Amino acid sequence: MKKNSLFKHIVLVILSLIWLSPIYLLIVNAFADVSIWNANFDWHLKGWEPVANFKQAWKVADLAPGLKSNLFYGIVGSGLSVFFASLAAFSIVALNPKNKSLWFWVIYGVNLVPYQMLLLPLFESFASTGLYDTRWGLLLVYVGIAIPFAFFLSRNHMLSISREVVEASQLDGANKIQTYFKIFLPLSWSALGAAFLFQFTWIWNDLVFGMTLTTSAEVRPLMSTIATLVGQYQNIKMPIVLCATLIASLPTAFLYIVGQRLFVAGLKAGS
Amino acid sequence: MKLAKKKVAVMTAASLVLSSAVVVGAVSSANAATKVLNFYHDKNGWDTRFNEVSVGLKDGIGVTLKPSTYADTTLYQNTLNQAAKTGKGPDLLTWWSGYRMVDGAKGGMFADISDVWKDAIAKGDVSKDLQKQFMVGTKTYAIPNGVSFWPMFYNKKKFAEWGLTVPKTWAEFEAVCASIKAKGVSPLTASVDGAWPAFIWFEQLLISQDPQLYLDLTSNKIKYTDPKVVAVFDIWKKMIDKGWFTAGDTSFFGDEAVKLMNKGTMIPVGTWNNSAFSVTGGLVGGKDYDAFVIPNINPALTTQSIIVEAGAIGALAKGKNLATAKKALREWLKFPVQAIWADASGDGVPNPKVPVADPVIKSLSKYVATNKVNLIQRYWESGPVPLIEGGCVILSAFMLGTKTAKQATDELAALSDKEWAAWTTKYGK
Amino acid sequence: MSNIVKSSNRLRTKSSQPIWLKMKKDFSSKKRKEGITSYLFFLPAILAVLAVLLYPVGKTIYLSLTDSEGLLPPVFIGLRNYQNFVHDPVLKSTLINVLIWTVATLVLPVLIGLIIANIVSGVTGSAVYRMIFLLPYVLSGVAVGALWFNIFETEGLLNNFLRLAGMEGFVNSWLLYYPQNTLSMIIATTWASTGLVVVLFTVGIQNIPLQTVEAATIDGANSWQLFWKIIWPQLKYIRAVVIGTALANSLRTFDIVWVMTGGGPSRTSETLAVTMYRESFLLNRYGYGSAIAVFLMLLVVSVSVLSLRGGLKKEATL
Repeated sequence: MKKNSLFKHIVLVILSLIWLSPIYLLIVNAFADVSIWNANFDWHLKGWEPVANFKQAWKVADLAPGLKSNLFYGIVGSGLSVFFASLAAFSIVALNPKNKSLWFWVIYGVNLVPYQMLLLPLFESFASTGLYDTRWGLLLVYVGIAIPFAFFLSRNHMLSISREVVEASQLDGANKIQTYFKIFLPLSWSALGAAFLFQFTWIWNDLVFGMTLTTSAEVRPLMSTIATLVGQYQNIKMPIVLCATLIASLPTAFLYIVGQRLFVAGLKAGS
Repeated sequence: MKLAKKKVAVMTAASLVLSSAVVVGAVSSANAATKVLNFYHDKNGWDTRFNEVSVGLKDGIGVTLKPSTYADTTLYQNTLNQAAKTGKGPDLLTWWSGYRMVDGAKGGMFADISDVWKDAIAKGDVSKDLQKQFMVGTKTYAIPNGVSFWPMFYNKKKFAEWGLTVPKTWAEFEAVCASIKAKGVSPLTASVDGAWPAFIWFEQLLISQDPQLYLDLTSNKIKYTDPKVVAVFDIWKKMIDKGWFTAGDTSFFGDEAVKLMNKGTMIPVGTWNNSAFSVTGGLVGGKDYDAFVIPNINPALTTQSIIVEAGAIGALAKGKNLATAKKALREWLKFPVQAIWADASGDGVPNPKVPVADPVIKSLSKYVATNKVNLIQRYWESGPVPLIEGGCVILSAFMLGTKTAKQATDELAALSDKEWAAWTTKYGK
Repeated sequence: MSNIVKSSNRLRTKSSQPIWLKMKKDFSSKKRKEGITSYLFFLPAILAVLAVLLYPVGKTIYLSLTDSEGLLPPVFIGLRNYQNFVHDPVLKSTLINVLIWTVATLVLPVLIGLIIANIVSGVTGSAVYRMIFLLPYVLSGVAVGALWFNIFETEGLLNNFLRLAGMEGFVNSWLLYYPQNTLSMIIATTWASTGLVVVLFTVGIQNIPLQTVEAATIDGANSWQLFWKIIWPQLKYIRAVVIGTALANSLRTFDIVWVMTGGGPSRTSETLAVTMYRESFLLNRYGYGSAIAVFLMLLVVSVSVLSLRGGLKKEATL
């Protein structure tokens, strides 16, 4: 068994090094000394100025409003979508409503539409309903688009919860809401946690919906600002841009580190 | 330090004009509260200079700008198409002149500002020559957003080090390229990144061979398969085969431009990129780097030609604050705001009364004026949009070597026929 | 091992149906109330989804039947856009690229992710390893694009490395020519999205009852048998999510292609979504672009239906 474990570790270490090499590249170039920067990405260190570069990135990029907005969109948007999705999944799996298949495909359907198709008509409908350039309007779009995958994941995970559990709760006389909160929710923690993390990341990194449906600095999500740091008219040096993207990625990374405890159960979870 | 001093000098001159303007305008604008105009644009990093313009507009007519950057040009254009249809969007917007304005003008995106131009020309704030590219039919729909030349930027220090002088003939130009190549440096930048940069050398070589050829080609009077046009492609191919161009995925903006400049590569790009060298690169114009007008290939031509690009700023026709927006456009062309713009952009401006501060732009403008260099509109604005977009794809393929000159010109001719027919169907003429 | 597998299977066979059905009949008087409650549970999701989906899909289908360009009002032309699309010279290469991306995504991130999830689940420090594979997914698109562009560009790091390693012959313009540009982009996408697959499979693996695994190990099953006979079947539901999502996403591949190559050279690396975007957003031919969008949507829906139906065929009432 020990030899097996060592072999696994070796494979994982090799794969990890491959996976980390572009991240290493990112770090080395993000923290390069801007005064000797010559527009080439390199493997070797060219100065080490993390503090100075972060300071400059924060000054140049005006990230504060975007970070604030993103926290709102990410936490509320992903939270609501996962909650709604899990309710719907629970219903379809445990409550056996009529036309189950139809509802499944309607809810999952957004996931199958090329997202570009949504952009301009949403602008149109937002303009006429006054939702254009509002936090709630954009939040609604994020929730609507984030639900399908969370729904699919919750529903499939709930399917794997054994029948015995469902039947036992029914015989106990528990009503539906109790069944949902006391049985399904606790058993689906890891799936719902994963769904929350993924949809948070999607919302956090969204560029096109934010850019099309909002315009004010206070309402716009973060990536709309990050994307303005590059381009043919822009004169910011690459290390600073990379530092700005690092700042932008920190909250998501932090969330994943904290969320790791959802998956720490390994092969220990029972039913 | 230098930049600050320049700013003070320009502002002092401007403020003299301003103070008189304020006294005159004080009575009429006394009752107007500061109005905020939403301003959408797709120029990443230009918020700073637009905010400076806003200060000038505030001093002039009590109007401020609220700029909003759209990092993706394609999404920007489509968002504005929607805004034009719904009236929900900006009061002012940046756009492109020439053929790129036609859809917007005829489709009701831009408001007619012919009266703004009439007044500005009368007061000498803008030259009548510039008006045509902002006109559709008999009406004018936007003001110029800076006027940029497309010269050849070069490293003056490296030229001296390598014993090279600014070429005055095509033979000299080729010799310079060969010398730089021999030093192990790519002599010229060229790119297909995003497809559009492919038109840069296409238009440049055509106007150096014969500006009239270029004008006839882009106005559909001759075909892309015309032997004179194919001959230019052959010249281009020879340059490509000699390995004079940088790789197709090269970027020539921002700090990438500085890198190339420092190596000694010559860069044909719009003077709006000048700040990359002077500000980002910290290079001194006239000493470290400079710009020249590319010599003619055809020795029979008596004058040189240079590509000119003028961006547009327009007012949304369905905008809620149209009257104020038009006032702002008029004010934008006046000396004080134009002086701010010249200083903030380091580029040429439409108002001829504003002295050019940047040494490279100054000497270039002087050269162009003195030698009566022909000003030719960019390819990007010189034809129906699908033709230009599709054309750049074909030109990119030619540059990469996946299409021969004959294939490229044949396909361009076919595309041209198709798109001009579609254009005529849509708009007549 | 076989005993436990058999007993858990028994609970899923039809013999448990009568008990369930009997219970249903007992509660038949509450049926209508139950029905309404079950609808209420998925009402928020339905409302949110329809609010976002309804008008855009409807508008797109409408526009696909019109000649709509730029700011001009749409003119009804029936199915002409679809007919033109079938004869579009770029159709063949576009569909081939979609196929390439779909196969590559199913093989690379999904397979590699499964292998990694399996290996990671059993070792100490699994949280650290999972985080490493997830980091690329967390980065913003600007950073990922800049990194891989600098690796693959002609004057970039890969070519520099090849020159240093004496492999000049392999130096290439990895982004400029087809098909190597598609290969480069697939590598970049695999790097960014495998972490997602790892996490999803981990969720599935950790819900396998420990008793089942322990019993199998006691019975003398080796790693391969353990995986194939115990773990793989238990991953049925998660597998459906991973494959279903991978299919839906790979059929709609857009962002990486648009950013890295623009679909070039000469539109050779275009995928369906890129073609749609080009026609609608770049050329403002909204009618034609909408037809391509509808075509793409139908393709994704049919493939999804096929893959999900096939996967859950064995499932009785659910």
